[in-house]
Amino acid sequence: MSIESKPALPDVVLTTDDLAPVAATTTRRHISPLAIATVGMLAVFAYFAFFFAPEDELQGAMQRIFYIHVPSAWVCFMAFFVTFCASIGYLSNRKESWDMVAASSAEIGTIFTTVVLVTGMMWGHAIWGVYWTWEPRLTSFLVLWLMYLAYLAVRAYTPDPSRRARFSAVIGIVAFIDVPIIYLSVNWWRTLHPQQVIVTGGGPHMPAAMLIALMVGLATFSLVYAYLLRTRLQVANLSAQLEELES
Amino acid sequence: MINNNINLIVGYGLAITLYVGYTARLLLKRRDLQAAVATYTDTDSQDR
Repeated sequence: MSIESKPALPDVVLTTDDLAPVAATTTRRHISPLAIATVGMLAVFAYFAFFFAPEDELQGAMQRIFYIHVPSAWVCFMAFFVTFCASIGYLSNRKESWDMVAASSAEIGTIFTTVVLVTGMMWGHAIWGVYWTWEPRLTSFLVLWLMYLAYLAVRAYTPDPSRRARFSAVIGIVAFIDVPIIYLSVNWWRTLHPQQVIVTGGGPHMPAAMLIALMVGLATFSLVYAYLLRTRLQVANLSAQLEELES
Repeated sequence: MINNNINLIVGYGLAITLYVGYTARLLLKRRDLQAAVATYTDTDSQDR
C-alpha cells in the first residue's frame, strides 16, 4: 500500500502496541464469563418468576409482572446512583473516565426506567383499570424518566466535550434528588400505588417463595446492569480511541 | 381473581424487547468500532 493511499494517522498518540488488545478482540471470538453468568441467571430468573413463585390469590398470573417491575426499579435507582457519584467525581477532578461512567450508567438507567414505566402501566391497567393515573409515585417516576432523557439530549446536542461533560454532570447530580422522593412518595402522600412490602418495620409482607423469586430477580437484573455497563464502557473507550486515531 | 394474561405477556414482551434491543445495539456498535480501530492498527503495522 502506498503512503498516499493510507488513512491519515495521528503523530504519536497511540501506537500499535497500545491498540494490540483491542485488535485482538476483533479476531478472538470468546464469550466473557460475565455474559455467560448473565444468561444463566436470566434462565434461573425465568424459572423462579413463572414456576417457583406461587400465584397470587387476588391478582392471579398478572402479579408475576412484579418480578421484573420491582428489580428493574431498584436497578434503575442503582444506575442513577452510579451516575450521581461519577458526576461528582467528574466535577471534582475533571477526569474523562468519570464522565464515561456517568453517561454509560445514565443511558442504561434510562432503559431500566422505561421498563419500569411500561410494566407498571400494564400492571396498572390490569389491577386499576387504567394505564396511567397522576398519583405521586407514578408522576415522580415519570419526572425521573424525563430528567434522564434531558440528560441524554444534552449529551447528544452539546458538541464541545468539556461543556457536555460539565452540563451533564450537573444534571446527573440534580436529577438524582428525585430518587428518594420516588422511594418515599408512598409514605408522604396518599397514593394508589402499593406501599413498600420489602423494607418495612415488621419485615417483608409477602410469602417466602415470592420473596426468594424477587431476590433472584434483583440478583439477575443487577448482573444484567453490570454486563451492560461493561459493554457500554467498552463502546465509549473504543469511540474515544477511534476519535483520537481519526484526528 | 383477576385474569388478564394479555397484559402480563405484553408487559414482559415489551421489557424483553427493550433489554434485548439495547443489548444488541451495544454489541453491534462495539463490533463495528473494534473493526474500525483494527483497520487503523493493521494499516499502522503494515507501514512499519
